[in-house]
Amino acid sequence: MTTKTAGILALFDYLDDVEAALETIKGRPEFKDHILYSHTSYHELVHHAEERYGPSQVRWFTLTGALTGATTGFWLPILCDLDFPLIVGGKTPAFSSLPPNLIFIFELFVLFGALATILGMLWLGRLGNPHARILDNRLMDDKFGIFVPGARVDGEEASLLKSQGAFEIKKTS
Amino acid sequence: MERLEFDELDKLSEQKEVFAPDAAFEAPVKNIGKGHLFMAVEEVMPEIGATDLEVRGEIAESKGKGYPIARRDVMRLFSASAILGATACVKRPAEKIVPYVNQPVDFVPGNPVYYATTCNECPAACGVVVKTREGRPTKLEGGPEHPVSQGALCAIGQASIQGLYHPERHKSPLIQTNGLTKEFSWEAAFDRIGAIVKGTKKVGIITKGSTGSQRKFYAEFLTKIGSKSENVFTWDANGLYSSISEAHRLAFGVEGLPRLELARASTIVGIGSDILDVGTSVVYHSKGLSQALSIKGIEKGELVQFEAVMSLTGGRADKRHVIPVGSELATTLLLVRSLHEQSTAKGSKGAKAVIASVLDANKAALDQAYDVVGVKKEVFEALARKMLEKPSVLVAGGTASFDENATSLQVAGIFANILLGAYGSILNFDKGWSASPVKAGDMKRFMEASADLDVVFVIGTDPSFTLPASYGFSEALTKVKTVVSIQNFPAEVDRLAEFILPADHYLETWGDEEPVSGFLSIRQPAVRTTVNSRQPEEMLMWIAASAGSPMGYADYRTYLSAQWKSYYEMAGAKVDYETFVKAVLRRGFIGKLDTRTVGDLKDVKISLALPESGLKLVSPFDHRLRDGSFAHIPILQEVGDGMTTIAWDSWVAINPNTCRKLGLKRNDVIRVEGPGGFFEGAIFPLPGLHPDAIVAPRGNGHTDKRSTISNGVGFNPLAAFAKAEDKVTGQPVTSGQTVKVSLVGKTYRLAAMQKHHDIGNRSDIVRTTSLAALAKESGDKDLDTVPDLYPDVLHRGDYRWGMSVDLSKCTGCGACMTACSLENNVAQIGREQILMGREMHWIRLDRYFNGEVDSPGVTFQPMMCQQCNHAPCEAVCPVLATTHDDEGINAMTYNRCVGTRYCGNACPYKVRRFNWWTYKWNTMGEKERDRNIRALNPDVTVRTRGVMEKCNFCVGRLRDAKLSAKERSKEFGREFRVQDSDVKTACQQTCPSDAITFGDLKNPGSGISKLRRDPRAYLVLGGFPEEKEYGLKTLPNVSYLMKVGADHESVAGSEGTHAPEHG
Amino acid sequence: MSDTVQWDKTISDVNEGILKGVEGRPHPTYYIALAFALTLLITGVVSWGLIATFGIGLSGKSSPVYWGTFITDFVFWVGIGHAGTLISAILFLFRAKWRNSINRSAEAMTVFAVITAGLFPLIHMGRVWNGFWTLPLPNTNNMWVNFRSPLLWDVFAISTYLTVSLLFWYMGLVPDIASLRDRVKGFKRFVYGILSLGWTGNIRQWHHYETGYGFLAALSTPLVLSVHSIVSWDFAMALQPGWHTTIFPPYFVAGAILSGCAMVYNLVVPVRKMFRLEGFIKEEHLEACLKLTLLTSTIVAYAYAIEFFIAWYSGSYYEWAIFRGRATGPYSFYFWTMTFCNCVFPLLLWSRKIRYNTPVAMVICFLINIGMWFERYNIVISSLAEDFLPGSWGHYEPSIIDMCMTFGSFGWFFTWFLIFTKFFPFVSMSELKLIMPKPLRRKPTH
Repeated sequence: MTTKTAGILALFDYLDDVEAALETIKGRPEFKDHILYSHTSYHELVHHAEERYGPSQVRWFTLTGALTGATTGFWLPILCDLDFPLIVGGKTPAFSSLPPNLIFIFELFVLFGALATILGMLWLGRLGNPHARILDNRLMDDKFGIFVPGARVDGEEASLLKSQGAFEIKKTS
Repeated sequence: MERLEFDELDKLSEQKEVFAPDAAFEAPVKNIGKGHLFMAVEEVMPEIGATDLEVRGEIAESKGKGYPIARRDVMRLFSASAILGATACVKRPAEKIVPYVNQPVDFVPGNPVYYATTCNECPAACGVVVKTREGRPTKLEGGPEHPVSQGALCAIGQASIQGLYHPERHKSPLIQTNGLTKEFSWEAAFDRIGAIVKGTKKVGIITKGSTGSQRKFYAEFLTKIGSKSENVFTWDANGLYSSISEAHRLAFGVEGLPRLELARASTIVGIGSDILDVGTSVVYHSKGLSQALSIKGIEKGELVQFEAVMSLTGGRADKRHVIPVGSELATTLLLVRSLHEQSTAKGSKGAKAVIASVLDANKAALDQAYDVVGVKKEVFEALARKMLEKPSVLVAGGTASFDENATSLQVAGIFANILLGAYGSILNFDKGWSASPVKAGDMKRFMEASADLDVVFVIGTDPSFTLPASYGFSEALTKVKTVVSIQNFPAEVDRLAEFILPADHYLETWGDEEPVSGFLSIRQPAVRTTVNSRQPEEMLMWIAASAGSPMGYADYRTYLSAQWKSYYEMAGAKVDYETFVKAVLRRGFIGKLDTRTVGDLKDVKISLALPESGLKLVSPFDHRLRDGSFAHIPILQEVGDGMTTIAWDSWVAINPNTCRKLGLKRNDVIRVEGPGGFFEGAIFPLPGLHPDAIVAPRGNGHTDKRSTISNGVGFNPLAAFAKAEDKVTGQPVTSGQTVKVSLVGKTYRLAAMQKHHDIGNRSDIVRTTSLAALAKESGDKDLDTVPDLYPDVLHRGDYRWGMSVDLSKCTGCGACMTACSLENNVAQIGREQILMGREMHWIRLDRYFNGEVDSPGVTFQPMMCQQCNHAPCEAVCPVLATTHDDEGINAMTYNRCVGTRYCGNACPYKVRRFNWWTYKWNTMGEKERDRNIRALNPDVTVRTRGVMEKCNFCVGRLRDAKLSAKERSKEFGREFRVQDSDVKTACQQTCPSDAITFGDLKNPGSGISKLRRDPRAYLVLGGFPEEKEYGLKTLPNVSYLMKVGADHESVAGSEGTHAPEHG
Repeated sequence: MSDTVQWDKTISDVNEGILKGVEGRPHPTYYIALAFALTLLITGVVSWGLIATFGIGLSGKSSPVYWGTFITDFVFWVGIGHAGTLISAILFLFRAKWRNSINRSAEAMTVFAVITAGLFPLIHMGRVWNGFWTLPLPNTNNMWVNFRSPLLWDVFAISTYLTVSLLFWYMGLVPDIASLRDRVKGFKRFVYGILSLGWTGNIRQWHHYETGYGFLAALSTPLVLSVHSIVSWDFAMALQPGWHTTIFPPYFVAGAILSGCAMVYNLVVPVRKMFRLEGFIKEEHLEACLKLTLLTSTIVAYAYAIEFFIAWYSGSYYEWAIFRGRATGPYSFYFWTMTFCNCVFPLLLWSRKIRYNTPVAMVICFLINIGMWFERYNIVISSLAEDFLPGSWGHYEPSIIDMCMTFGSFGWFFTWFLIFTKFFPFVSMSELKLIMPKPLRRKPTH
């Protein structure tokens, strides 16, 4: 995601306006790397994002994490028991008592999976980024915004967005 | 009253299995009926028991005292934060270890040194082997070769080591003058007493009973200082010695107690006898009885007991008749009559004539006696016939029957035994009899003589506590100018003494006993005096010296070795005397039985007076605390009474039906008002008592600051007795006086270790069988093959340790609990903790009643860790703190335990014990809980708070045995395995009834292997393998042997229904 | 269901309405509640100090009742946690709209409840400083842990559960913290800025967020069912009659959700008042929560019944004796309280009137919580006190310290919860907006 913030930010009040705007600017070169801001994840908008950026890669993180966890959960008990075999309840542990290992497989599957997922979200969403710029304080309140980098307030991008229902166009630097 | 007859039990046992095709669903519900076992009357007579609400309240009440936290501590802690608390750690007592400057020759630190000596706690004089480590005794065991103890030791003998190390022993001589107590040097004390003795010639000595040279020495001392030699007054609260000896003097003209060879008897009849509780030589008699009653083929000896109280002896009996208090004499005479009527009756004409005359003299009384005693004529006749068939003996009298007729009872007993022909075979009176440790009537003599005595030495006995207050001993003693109390532990008589001289514990003294005439048993010190104490006899020597008339012995040892010369001649040893003595000391005993000729029965008269009805007070000895001399020993208080399982308390036992009649409940405090005074105590409704018997055991009730252990515990029932004496011996009466009971309106929770609710029908816990059933049994049992999913990986080691407990041998005496606690450093925790159910015993005695409440059968089940092969406790421990070793032992790793206590929950036998506190071991006296660090076994670690512990088959002893086997193998260059004789667990070693067997199950020839194959063998909670039903499948290495009833009748009727495998 | 909700607020009111509670002063009752919670907390801390210093003997436990109120509390609090995850994860997957308004509070409850629960095994051990021995850490003795011990399963299950629900909760918080950040100034803005992880609300963040959130929900869903099953195995895996039954896992999970929902209701209703959130947490949402309570309560009732039936039907004497003992023995008081609180009183919730009558519903939910605590008490103690060998039987009553610890745990929980309500949005605003009418020009909302 780009970090340059010089450009214009069009603020919208209504969800359907934003949708319309997105439809109109779709594919236009000057809007190539516009960024949409929303205060919550309306499915319409997420759908647009899906089309624009393709499916989220978080799932790969989750899968890797979960599988690692499962493997660890399977081998940890066995290796520990083999390291110091003791008679417990008339049996030696390790391979002669596999059923309980299911629990560790499952628990570590979930644990590692969850951790990896979080990592994925942070990484891909560029979260934990101290340089993230807040273009407008209303964006996380009840407004929608479309940021067009490099555009000017009196440019045609601005007028186009205005025609689509943006109630304000502000310059960002 | 709800009761179960045997035929009903049979019905119960006929029930089908739940899943049998034709069984209806109510099958399981049906067997929720009352089972054949019950643990307390609450189950069969609920209204007697404390209601649950009360229990709650009482528990709340006990909580208050439950914690060892002073109010101030709490306040202080309120300012401490949890973090502080969490990081605070336990302070350990620091003890300096000083290495030897000069290493003693052939002494290896860490290797125990054993000394043979003789127990002095009661006149029975059992041989003891003292195990010492680095010069301090750590454990006592019965001398294996000693004919009296035969390797075993009673609870009291075991516990005497705690008496040795008791921190409350006097530290130096004390002189009390008008209320002020001052410490004095020995010399000063001797000079003063010497001066007084010199001044007056009227000196007397009161001493405890002894069969050794002691009494002779005292007499010699008295003559030396110019007093009368007969001023030696022996006193033992156990009147059996004097009454038996006196009865024999009356009957045969010679004194002494016949040596009782129970092993030779096949039918034993006890009338008010308590040979397994106290008797005259409890270990010796337990051994003999256990042999007599053991199963030989399809034969088995039988013990028939007539008694009013519920003694351990009665519990062990195969048939038990309840008779009124004070009717022992009548019962005996009735039996004598039936015996006399039999044509097969033995005994000389003259004797029969004497007996006949006595019977005729009391004919009228005897005819009514059947109704008074409540036993039919036929019973006596049948019994008489049976007794005359096989070698039989009658044992009469016990601590529960000390009434006016105590001696007459013994005479009647002699009659019976003459008719049975027991003398010469079972009763040895002409060969190897026992001299009486006490002289009959001595105390009576003292009371008369006390007026003109100026100085009285009270040595090793405490008459002012063990005599009823009404007897007036203390008053008599206060009249005496100078009283010198020589005790190895503070006694109540000290209060009346001007001089208090700390005496050595018997483990620190020289001495000798002659338990059987001609048989010398040596007492030698096993440790240097642990406090500033001295040998009583040597004190007397000093006093005599400072009185200007020295006795002329260097010390008591020289005196003794002079006494032992005779044995030297008798033995005809080739060696010189010194070597001889050394050899004797090494062995601990020497001698061969004396013989004498005893005349025929003399003409004795007995006048029988039948007891009138009404509530009668009986005060037998508590089988652990006896007359109270041992109340200061924590372990004995903690072991708990066998029948009631009450610890740290006295109680008033009353027949449940009487309780119901009088509207009394468990734990109600009643006031017992006798002719001599009154006392208050809490009720324990005890099945099997005679309805008119009010049974309050002696032993507790010490009131002065004698010891923090015994002080204020329980009450002294003797307070209620008016002055009355045995007609012949003058022994004070402690039984059979009429009393009134009245509710006080308080309740007091007796610290009974068994709590109870409905036991119902748990039929695979205590299993019983009959000789008839056994006769049908054929082939060996196999307890170890049980269907199992995974293969086992057990017993990879050279050994597999196993234990077997014979339920028909255990008498519930508690010796095993004591031995275990002392061997394994198990803490004593005190009443409050026991009330909360936190007792720490690694082996406990579960007591079950069966049959009717009025005359129940009793079964004791020693319950220790079962060392399960499929241990439920092991699988649940998160940190592997308890695992199995290769030899089948379920091992605890104390320092790995984090204290989740899950193993305790998982254990179906609930034998795991948890250290709820760090039980202190730096001082013993400070709190009941505390232990004395010197009294600990250095081979066993001490557990701190938060750690689970339990029986481990005395693994330390096993390791020793294996090491010595290894050494032997090295020495002889061939493989030596540990044999049965090489290793014994503490409980097995000390069991006076040989109920416990331990050994190697991998050795098919070992005793334990045989017993595990025995048709009687079974596993607790192991279901019924013979019916392919394996219970919990925990597969213990501890197996039990079913209890067997005599004459082809199972003890508990039937086994009730089978509880199918759980879960 | 929540389609029928009449919204008198628009999304523009959401941030304003919810965050003014965080910025401004809450209702005075808040401070009273906080003070009360802190007092309880101190009691608990002191009693823990006593236990750690003197020994676990301070609690009323003894042989054979080796487990007491501490384990009861442990199970109770773990159970409380479950409703949170249920509401936030399972209902998220089911797209049950009503969960959006209360899931934040439910998740917070989960996190704090699990933290509370996690303390109790340590308290229970007495020597808390040895707690780490239960982890498979390499050490010089080569002593590992026993992977077959249900307690070790607990260690893994509880720690996983705590971690996952913590992450889940925090991820949900991030956008709301961002909204909060944008409203405040100065130092507060700095702090919230850090906590918001630089969330700007651009669509790619939302995109990954949605996916990740979905995965987390999917991962936590089996957790809800597994954690309490594993806790139930602490009992079911032991031979103890009354414990050794296969019904335990489902029965425990149902019970957990029952107590959890009741607790959610008990928490949300007062906080809703304190922070004046009536406009956002609607009656309908609370009512839906009550319906769930009613459902689980019936499941629990069924479990009780079937447990008894099996105990009798099994024909195992020991099993049946335990159950008879529960109903008639020394612990019957706890048993009947449990039965009435968990199975009888909740039946009132069949009536719609009562479901909408907040005070009455509050009382019922409160009783349910008591009942569920007693249920655990019943299972733990009454099974242990009288099991196989009558010679070993005992009796247990909680000691003062036991009770102080229990109340202390409530103090600990409520302190955290109240602090949370003060500094973070109590309602998930971004998710609330989703169930409110969308801001559309063409179809005016009012």
